[in-house]
This record gives sequence, structure tokens and C-alpha cells, in this order.
Amino acid sequence: MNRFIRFFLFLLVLGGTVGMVSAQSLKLSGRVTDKAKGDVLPTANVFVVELNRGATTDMNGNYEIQVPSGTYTIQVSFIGYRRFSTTVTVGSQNVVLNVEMESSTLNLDELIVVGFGTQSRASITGSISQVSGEQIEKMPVNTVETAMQGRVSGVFVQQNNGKLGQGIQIRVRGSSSVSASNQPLYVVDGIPVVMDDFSLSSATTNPMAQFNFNDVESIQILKDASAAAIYGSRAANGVVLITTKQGRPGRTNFTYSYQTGFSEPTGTVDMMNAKEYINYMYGAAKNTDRIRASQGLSQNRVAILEDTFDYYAIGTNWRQCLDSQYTSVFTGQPGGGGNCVVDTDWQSLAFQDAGMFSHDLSASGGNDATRFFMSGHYSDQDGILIRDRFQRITGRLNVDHKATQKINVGMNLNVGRSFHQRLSTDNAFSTPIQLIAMMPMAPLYYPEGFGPDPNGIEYWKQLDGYTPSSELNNDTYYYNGVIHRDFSKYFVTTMRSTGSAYFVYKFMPELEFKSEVSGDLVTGKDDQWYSPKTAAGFASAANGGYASIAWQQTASYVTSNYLSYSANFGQDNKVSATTGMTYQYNDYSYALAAASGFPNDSFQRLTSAATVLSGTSNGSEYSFLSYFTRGNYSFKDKYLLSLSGRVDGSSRFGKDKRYGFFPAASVGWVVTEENFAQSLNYYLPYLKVRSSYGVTGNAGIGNFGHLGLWGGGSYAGQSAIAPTQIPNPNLTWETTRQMNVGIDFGLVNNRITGEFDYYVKKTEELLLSVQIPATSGFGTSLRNVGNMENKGWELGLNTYNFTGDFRWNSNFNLSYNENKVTNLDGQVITAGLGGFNHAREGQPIGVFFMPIYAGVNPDNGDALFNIYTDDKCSAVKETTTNFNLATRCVAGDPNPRFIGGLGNTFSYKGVELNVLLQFVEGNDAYIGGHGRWSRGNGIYEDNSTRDQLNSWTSSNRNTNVPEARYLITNGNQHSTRYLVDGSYMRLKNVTLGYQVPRNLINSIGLTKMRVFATGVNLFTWTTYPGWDPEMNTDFLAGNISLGTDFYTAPQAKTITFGVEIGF
Amino acid sequence: MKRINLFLFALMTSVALWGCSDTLDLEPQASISDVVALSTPGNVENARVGAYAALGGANAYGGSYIYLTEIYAAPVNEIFFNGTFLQPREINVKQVLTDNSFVAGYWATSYNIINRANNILSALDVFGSDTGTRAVVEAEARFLRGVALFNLVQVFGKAYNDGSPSSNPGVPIVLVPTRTADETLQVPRNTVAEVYTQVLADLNAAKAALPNTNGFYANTFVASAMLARVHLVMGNYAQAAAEANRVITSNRYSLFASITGNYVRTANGSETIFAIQNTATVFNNDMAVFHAPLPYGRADIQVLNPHLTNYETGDVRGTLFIATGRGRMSTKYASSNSTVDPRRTNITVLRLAEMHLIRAEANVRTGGSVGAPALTDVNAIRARAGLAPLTAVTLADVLKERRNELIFEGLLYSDMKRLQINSQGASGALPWNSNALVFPIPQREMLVNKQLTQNPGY
Repeated sequence: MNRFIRFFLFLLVLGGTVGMVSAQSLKLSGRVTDKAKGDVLPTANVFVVELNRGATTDMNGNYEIQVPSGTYTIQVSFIGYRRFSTTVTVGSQNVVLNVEMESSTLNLDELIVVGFGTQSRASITGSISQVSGEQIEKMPVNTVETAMQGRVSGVFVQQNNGKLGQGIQIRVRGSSSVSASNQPLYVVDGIPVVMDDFSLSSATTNPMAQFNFNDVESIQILKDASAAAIYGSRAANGVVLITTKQGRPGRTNFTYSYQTGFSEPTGTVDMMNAKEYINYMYGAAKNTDRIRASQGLSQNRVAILEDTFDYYAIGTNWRQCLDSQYTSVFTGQPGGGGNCVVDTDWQSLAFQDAGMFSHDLSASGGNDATRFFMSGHYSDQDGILIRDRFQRITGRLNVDHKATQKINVGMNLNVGRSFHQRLSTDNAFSTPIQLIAMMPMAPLYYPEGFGPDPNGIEYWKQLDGYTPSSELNNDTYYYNGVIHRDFSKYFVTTMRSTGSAYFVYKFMPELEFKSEVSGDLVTGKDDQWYSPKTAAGFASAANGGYASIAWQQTASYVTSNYLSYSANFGQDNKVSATTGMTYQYNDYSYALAAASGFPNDSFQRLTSAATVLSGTSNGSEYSFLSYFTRGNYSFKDKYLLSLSGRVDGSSRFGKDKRYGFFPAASVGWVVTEENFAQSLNYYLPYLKVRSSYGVTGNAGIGNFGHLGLWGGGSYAGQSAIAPTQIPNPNLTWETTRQMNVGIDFGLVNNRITGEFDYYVKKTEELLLSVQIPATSGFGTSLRNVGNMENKGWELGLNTYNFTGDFRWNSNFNLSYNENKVTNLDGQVITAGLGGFNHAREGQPIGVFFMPIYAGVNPDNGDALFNIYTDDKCSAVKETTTNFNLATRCVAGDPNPRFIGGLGNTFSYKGVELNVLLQFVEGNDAYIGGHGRWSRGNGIYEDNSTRDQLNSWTSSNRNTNVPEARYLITNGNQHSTRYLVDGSYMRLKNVTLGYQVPRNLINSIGLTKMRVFATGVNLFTWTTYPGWDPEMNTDFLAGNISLGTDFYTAPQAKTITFGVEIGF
Repeated sequence: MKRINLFLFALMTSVALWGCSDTLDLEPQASISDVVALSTPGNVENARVGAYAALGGANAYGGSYIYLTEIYAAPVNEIFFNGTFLQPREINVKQVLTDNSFVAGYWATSYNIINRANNILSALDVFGSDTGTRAVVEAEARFLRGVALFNLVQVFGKAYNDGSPSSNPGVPIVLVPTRTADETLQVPRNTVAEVYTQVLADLNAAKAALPNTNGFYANTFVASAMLARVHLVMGNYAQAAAEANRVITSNRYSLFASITGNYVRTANGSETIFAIQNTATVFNNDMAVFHAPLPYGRADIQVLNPHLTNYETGDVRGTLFIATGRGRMSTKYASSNSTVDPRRTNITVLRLAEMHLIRAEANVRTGGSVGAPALTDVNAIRARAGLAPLTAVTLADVLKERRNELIFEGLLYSDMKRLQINSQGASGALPWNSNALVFPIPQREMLVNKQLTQNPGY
């Protein structure tokens, strides 16, 4: 929106200069550029104070002012830059004054996008975080949220895993709901965008992955009630306002950039090799037989293990690397004690060489009447996991046209297509990371001359050596997920067109009316095929293969109509107001068909299938109707007041309860405008104290939750109906009351600027899926029950450490949040792996509730758990080997206490280095998959992590790893044994760029050339023993199921190189 | 003028939409309101089909009622659950935690069947003068409710022959449909005797009103066959014999020539009395999921060597196994033909052989010969299994045939209880009436229903 103001300033000043031109003979001229990047700055204001005369730079950044001889103070200003001031003496000749502007950390004139309008930074009384498009541009990450990670206070961003395009968890000031959505509302160019997740698997995908964030001009995150309440209905989780770029009057600027690079996993888990595995398991089986002997039971576990190994070794001689201290029960011979014939590093097979590249081309410009920005983007990124790939093509056109002095029209249009090769969920045997569970002595390929036995029951002839064939081994202990890579497809194609058109009419300079209509049309195709070869991992593929195709579409229509008024009354009173309405209708539809029985693997479309297995379709709708108003008043730019209110109606609630009222108020006091503060001007140039209180709502539940419903189905080919939902006609908005106090400050001549906020956020009448007795025939009922609260503070600091040729800026943000579920009507809601993530009264959401592991009994290697004197777990009464008797305790909290980031920018003569550190502190993490199964005392045949070699033996009594016992549980239950610290700090982003000096490239017709290298997630400091502490297993991830690793893929470490040219 | 027009336009747009609050009245596309759900005879008949669908759910006869009770009763050294699912493993080793979700699913699905039946029973007036249809629909609903209650009380309460059923807590009897979530949902446990009384009342009412034929839905002989089972568990041998005899002498059913005819069927056959119907496209079959080898199943329920000693030499039933990489599996829910997906086949609940064995057992116990002498019944079963006929029959002979004939078919648990056979868990032998051999009331139920009491030992 600041483009409007700039534009008007341009007109104003232009008008002014035309009138001023007279018969002066001398010329003051020059060019205004950005000091750091060398870009020219059109529409900058150059002002000669003594003459009260000025000019605006043209499209090349040039200006020209006629002046008489004399000495003048010249001021140059441009939004987003520090005001430049110097004195010039004009003698008898023309003077050239080139100005390099430095961008500013504290720019009070800067316009901040707020709901339905803009406000100057000076007049803001709410809490708003901001990210500029420049900060996140060209980040080689998948989505805009990941690009924002660590850059703003109060916003926690976590990618569930390193699969591309997957669900993401964003929490603005903590979780405010238990059963309803906790994700913020996304508004792009004033339009609430469709965030429907089209994923057909239990793992969510992120609709924002289709969005080209190189188009972003700025992102504002509205955090407190006063900022967000104008989006009342859905603002309780914060609002993310994204504004895309717009052209400036002047010459048309073209920018092209290309980037290419590669990714690899941020970490791996240290697994046993074949020799370690075979001997560890053999020892475990011997331990079990020893125990069975003492119980008078048959000692056959070693035999079972040898039998199992014989089968899965596919005829290769695994006994060759059995230690010679062991004598084979089957052959009667001691182990070979040599190297293994087969030693498969299954973990490495989960990953691929991942390359990526992107092309971006944009053009922007315009004239007095019309401005435009257009861009095209194409990128193709491989994930680190086998077969993972994400391609994105987008195009954008933003146009703003001034039709008459009173009428402005414009449109923003974005079209895009993404193509995504998806992977199975973390819970599927076919997900690549589950390969770690495979026996390392099992070969990836069948031995030469062997093939899969059709009945799957033959025992293989013993082979001493191993020559692999080209056929992937399908006789593995778990399904061989590598087969999925070659013999299945899971292609998700999403097409999205988002367009909005607006019309602005200025009744008078103070009053305008804006009407906006938009459509967001998203169509998704989910195309899956599985060869019969994948049948072991995808049972439906057994009968000649399986294929399904699903189409989904969401059409969202929004119209907003509002009046804006802004006026000054005298010198001291400034008033602005906005009032209007908005209506949104969302229509979703879905169709799926599946079939099996294909002639061969070349046929993958349903038309070639023998049997149609299923065909289904469905649809749903919702609508919101809202009226809003906001008024701002400022007295002497010193005392600020803002009031807003919104009435919201939603189809999701009972007829009598569907409207909610969401008011907010805020006040601000600019202390440094007071006379008494003037003396501190150098040390404390700016201080604003502000406070707000307001109510926001949450309607983030499914449709029709208030109705009593019966669903359709079938039995034995006959149609059936059955009750599915208990009615609740009283269902209504979940409301959040938030109090915020904060200060904005500038210190030491604004070399240090920042803000500090403290907030208390209380959510009432939670939209809660209340558990009811199952004797009713239902499990839950959606009701407005319960309370939750978040308290915390946020600090943001920007400093200019060095200015001049060598510049060093820092920004630091730190946020603390404390979440507590205060009332659930006495319920405990369980979720997550093993149901151990709980929502419990008096505890943060998602706490880990499980027995406490007490280590190993040094006398016999038994795993021990604590029994406490009470259920508060205050004092240990005794330890037990009986897991069932162990006390269940609140054992950990998956929510971070502190999150933050530290960014540093160094620049020197065209070379710029950005370094961003991001950290998350105080959260506990549960290692599920490679805990219980790969640190499971050899109970299962899964491969184990190498740290299990330190298990208890009679000569290694002082250890925390229980004795290995094949087929006997010894401490591998879900307990705090697998609960670890999930804190981490990582080198999130390093970018080194070099701007080629203008004089070197002007001759070849370029205005700009920058080469850069960027690294993401380059290094992670953590004690977490898994792949990556930034994780939450995708098939369970939810409001309560937090912080659990279940074969969860690590994040990608990416390094790219790129070039950007302007012409 | 122009300015005024625009202003009016803006105003009108806003006002027009203000008036349009019915834009917020939207209806679901794939559900109907509870108000109309039971308002027509057609809908109530559809609701009846829906109640059968619940009975075929994976937590009822689609799985849990059969395999979960079977692995619970079986000694762990005979039948061993070797899968990665912890819940069935806990049940198999007889160390069930109160938060076992399979146990909670068993409970919840059973009451879902009951609620669906109660909904039907509440809406019979829509049939008006069509008293014929009304009677059948009512009888089917009562059959379904009775069956669900019977399956509940057996595992969540002490056995009928364990202590005093008239004071032992059973399970709540719920006879009204749920319409709103309120305090009335807090229901206490009835006694074991009260539940059995309700089971008998429902099944007898069903038997009286059901027709002789009713497709694959319950008919009067299905009700009788289920009654025979219930009476056997209660020790009412004369009634058990009478009900079994009623089914046998209906002459509507005959034994297959080979026992394998009973398994992996896509339609009912001559021996089938009642089976859960799965189709190629819509199926719930946890029997195949846990018994069948890859690719259709998980091959989790292993048959260990000691089990094989139960069979005489030459017993066909002792060969119904397949060796897989994950151990020996029963083939009752798996096909040797790997192109047949056993999940898409029916699950037999009641078949004629069981009726012969009930009649034989009851006749031996009472010294009677209702229908036929016990020896005739037993030899019929033995002959089909490829075994020589006996010349005289003892109770032990009948029980041995029963066990070998019906293993993996969902009767092991009630037999273990009523015949007082000890089992074996992870920590050794367990007496038949051990606390560990009764399911806990699910933890979530205990938390949300203060009226419930937990079973001893949990």
C-alpha cells in the first residue's frame, strides 16, 4: 500500500517543481541509489530546505533542481531508508550531488499493512511482526513458512519432516485450541486464501508450498488482539498478511535469476553393520534361552533366530561372520568369525542425490496512471529421500490503474501448478526411513540365479558368496521400500488460480470506498499406481497391481466492501476509520476411483484394469458473513487510540449461536514526543508504550459440527445408514481474550531499535471434542468446553553495529511462551504414538505422560521403572521390572520455552554476507521408531542402533542399556527411556552475495548483476540422538500429538549457487 | 450524481448481504439430519443394514470377537501373536493394560451396534400397518443387540460359571438410543445375570419373530444357533441341545464334504448358518489381516509346535497350516492361491458343525439323545476330518473334537471359561478364572463415566 503514498507524493512534488521552474541559471543534479546494493531509487524526494523547493527522482534515479548560487541544506528521503542530509554550496557552476541511501531499521513513516488498510508505523498500537520479501527471497526452501523460520518473534515454525511439501506447524504465541485449528489465518493481498489440505494420506501437505514466495513484498504477522481483531472470526491464532510486489512508475525493470544446488540430510542415525547385528542378535537369543532354561522352558530361541536368519539371508552364508565363540545349532560348526558376505547399509538406501534449480523472471514498472508487476517462476527440487520431488510453476500479474482522479481499479492474478512426487507416511513400511529396520545381512538384490518364490515359503540353498542379480529382494523381514521407488507412483498435481479485482472510488480526499471480489480456485489430482511387485508393502497391489485417481476442488469466493476515512482536524487531531463487510463462500468437492488387475506394469490407468475396487465422491461447503469497523485517533502524534469490532457469522455453528462479536481496543503513548524527553534525544530518540485488549475467535473445525447426522454406507452390497454425530445446537465460537503491553524503542541515535511485548492470551469455550461414554454408541461430542492460556514475552532488537563502507547489522529475536490447559471439564485427551501425548488440566498441551525409566538393574540386566508414592510422581517408592505397575507421570513437554533467531548482515563494497542462527529451547522429544524398535533390546529382528552394543552383560554392569533378549520385552516399552531433549540451534541460513559494480556491467546493457551462494541448515547443534530434532511424525501430527519421531525423515541441508541480473 | 450512485451501490451491496443471513444455512452433502434419518420405512430398513455393518466391523465379528478372544484364551506357547501391534500382543500374553485400544474398540463397537439397534427399535412406528416388516426388523434389531451384549459380557465380566453371576458386575445394558450428550449417558454396570437375562430375552424374541429365510441376514435358525451357544455357556444343556437340534433338524443346512469348504468363501454355503459378508470392494476382515501371510495379511498369529499335538494322526484339521517366513499360520483365513485376497471373503460366525458338537456335548452331559445320539454327531464330524469313527463317546471325546474342529473360529475363550481350562501367559500358567483373563473396563470409559467400576486386577 505504500505504493499509493509514494505515487501521490510523486504527483505532489511533480506539481510543485513544475510551478517553481523559473529563470535560474544553475543546476543541481545527481542520482540517488541504494548504498548496499547500488539499485537506483526512483521517486525519492530531494528537497532544498532553504528554498522550500524539491524534486523527485526519475526512473533512473536521477533528479535535477534549478537553484541560484548559495549554500543549501539538501535532504533526501525515501521510504524504508534513513533520511539523508548534507550541505552543498553552489557557486557559479552546475553541481552534481549523487546520494547513496542507507536502509533504515526504524522508519516511522513506513506503511504497515494491517487488516483492510495500511497504517504508518508511528501510529501502530498493536503487536505486528514483519518480514520483508527481501529477507526470504531466493531461499532454497520449499515453503514461505520455512523461509520465515527464526526471523520473527512469537512465531514458531516447525516442518514435520524433510519430505517436500509436507504439513507444517505454525504457532503464533502458542497453541490456543485443543480440538480446533491452531494454524493462523493466511491473507494474501487482502484475500483469505484457501488452506484446504488435499492430502489423501494421514500425513498432511502444505497448500502454501504452491506459493512462489519470491513475489512477496512483505509479510506482516498480526499477533495481538488489537491488530488481529478486524479478522475477528479466525484471528485467534494470529493472521499472516502477505503482500505481493507492485511496480513503480518509471522504466520497466527486468530481473532474471537462476539458482542451482543440492541437498543432503542434516543427520543420520548410527546403525549396526551386519557383523555387529548378527552377533548382537545371537547373543540376545542365547540370553533368552538362558532365562528360559531357568524357567524350565524349552531353549529354542537360538534355533528360531538361526531359522529366521537362514530365511532372510536368501541363501547367503551369514554364519561366515558369526563370532567363533558361538556354535551354530543347525550346522554344529563354530561361527566363521570373518567378514559378512552381505552387509547392506539400508539407511543409505533411503536417501538420494538431491539436486534443485529454479528460474525466476520478473518485470515491473509503469507510468503515472498504470503500474504493474509480473513474474514467472519455475523450480524443480528433489527431496533427500528416494523419489521425493517437487516442481512448481507460477505466473503472476499485478496491475493497478488510475482511471480518473477519483477511480482506481486493479487486479492481482496468480496462476500456478505444482507437481509433487509424494512418499508414504512415516507409519508405512514403504516410507524410505523405515528401511533402517531391515536386517543388514539381508541383500538388497536377490543373489544371481535366485528369484522370489511364488509361495514365499521355500528355504534357500546355502551360498557362500553373493553375486547380486538385478532383481530387488522382496523376501525381507519388513517390506523392502526400495521396491516402492521403482514400482509405484504417487503423483500429486495441484493447479491454483487466485485472482482478485478491486475498485476504489474517492468521494473526497478523506473518504474512499473499496470493493474487492476474489476467487481462489484450487484443483488437485492425486494419481497413484502400485505394481504387483509392491504387494508386500501395499496389499491392495496384490491382484495385478492397484491404481487410484482422485480429483479434488475447492472454490473460494470472497467479496469485501468497505469505506475508509482519514482526516486531520487542526494540527493535533488525526482520525481514521474503516467500516465494511465481507462474505466468503467455500465449496469443496472430491471424487475418487480405484481399480486393480492390470495386464502388466505398462498399464497404469483405470481403463485397463480388470476390477474396479471403489468409486466415491463427496463435497462440503461453508460460509462466513462478517461486518467490521475500526477507528484510530491520534492526538499530537503522541496519544494514540484504536478501537475495532467485528461481527461474524458462520455456517459452522448452530442457528441461534452462529454470530459472534469480537471487539478490541488499544492505546499508545509516544513518550519521546513529550517535551521532557527531548533532552534525551540522542540516547533515547524514540519510545512508545502501547497496550491492547481484545477478543478474537476460532472457527477452525469441520463443517456441520452442530448437526445430528446420519451417514450412508453399505453392507454386503446393500445400502445402509448409521448415526455418525450427536447434535449440538449450542455449538458456537471459541473465543480468545488477549492482553498485550509493549514498548517500541530506539536507542543511541537509533543505532539500536527494538520492541518488547508481554501478553496473556486466554481461550474460553474451547471447541472441544469431548469424550463421552462409548456406551452411547459415540466416542466424542463437539462442545464448547474448557479453557487454555498462553503467557509470554517477545523481544526484537535491530542494531547497526558498523556503518560506512563496512556495514554490520544485527537483528535478534527471542520469544518465551508458556502454555497451559486450564480446564477440560475433568477430561484427559490422549493422542499420538501409544496415546502418550496428553491434554491434561494444569499442564501444557501435548505433555508426555508415561512411566519413568529407572535404568538397568546392575545385577541381572533387567530394565527398571519407577513406582512413585503418589500419582504426582513426587517421590520414588520403589522400582519394578513390571511395566504395568510403573506409575504414569507427566514426564515432559513437547512445547519449546524459548524460540528465537540471530541474524547478522555484513557488507563491504558489494560483498554481502548474511548469517542466520535459529534456535528452539526447552522442548522434549520422543524417539519412537528408532527408540522402541531399534533400541529394543533385540526383542524384534529389527536392526539396532550401534549404541545398543553397550547393553548389559555380566562384564558390563554399569550401563543404561538393558540386557539384550531376543523375543523378550526388557525395557522397550514407551517410557522416558526414549524421551530426550529436543532443543537445538542451527545455522539456518548463510548467504554470501557479490554485487558486480555497475560500471562493469553497464556496457553489456545490465543494470544489476549479483552472484550468490546460499546454504540452509548447514549445521545443527543438538544432543538429540535422532536424525534431526525438528520433527513431528507426519501421520500423527496434530494439536496434541507433538514432538514424536517415528521414522521421521531429517530436514534437508541445502547449498545453492545463483546469479541475478537486472536489465 | 455519480458520487451518490456509487455510495448507494456500496450501501446496497452491504445491506443486501446483511439481509442474506440464509447464506449461512448450508446442508451437508453426504449425511442426513437425525430428524429425517428414521422418518420413513425405507430409512429404517437402511438403518437395519447399517447395524449389520457395525456387527461386521473389525472390532466385532470382522475381527476382534473372533481372533482377539482366541489369542486371549490360547496358551501363549501354542498360539503366539508375533506382530508389531502391541495391543494384541498384550492380550496374547495376558498382560492387558487398561488403555489397550483394541479392548476399547471392542467395547465401543459393541455399544455402537447396540445404539444402532436401539435406534431401529425406537422407530418401528413408521411401518404403520405393515406389521410383517415391522416384526422382522424389530426381531433383527433385537438379535443384533443380544449378540453384542453376549460378546460384551463374556470378556468384560466374570464368566457365568465363575462365582455368583447375580452379583458379579457385567456390562451396562443400554436399551434406548442416544439422542443428546448429557448426564443420562452415565450408565452403571448391570450384573452378569442381568445381562444374560437380556441376551436371552433379545435372542428369544428374535427367534420367535424371524422368518425361516432372510437372505444372509439373521433368520430364526440363526437366532436358535446363537441361543444354543448362550445356553451352553450358561450350562443350560437341555436348552442348548434343543436349540442346536432345531437348527440341525430344519434340514436347511448340511456339512460340506470337506472342512476346507468353510473357509475363504465369498458367499454363504450349505454349512454356513451366519456369516459376515465381505465384498470385493467393501470389506472389514481383521481375521485375514492377522492370520494370512503377505501380501494380504500380516501373518502375526503363529501356531507353535505344541498346538499340533492336539491332532490325531490323519486328522485333516491338523494340516490346515501354512509355513511362512514369519512362522506357521492357520489357513482358515488364508488361501493357498495367492491371487485370492482373503480379506475380501466372508467370515463365518456360525456353522452347522458347531451345532452337531453342541448337541453332542449337551446329550453326553444330560445323558439324553435329543435329535441323535452323541456318537452319531461326533462321528459325523470325525468322518469328515478323515478320522475313524468312535465306538463310544465320552465328554472328553466331544470336547476334543470341538476344539480341533472350531479352533480359530472364536469359541476358545468361552470354552476355556466354561470348561475351566487353565491357560498360559508370559509369566507362566494362569487359572481359567484368573483376573488376567477378564478384560479391563477401558481406561477412557472409566474416566468419562463415573458410574463404572473397574474389574479386579486392574
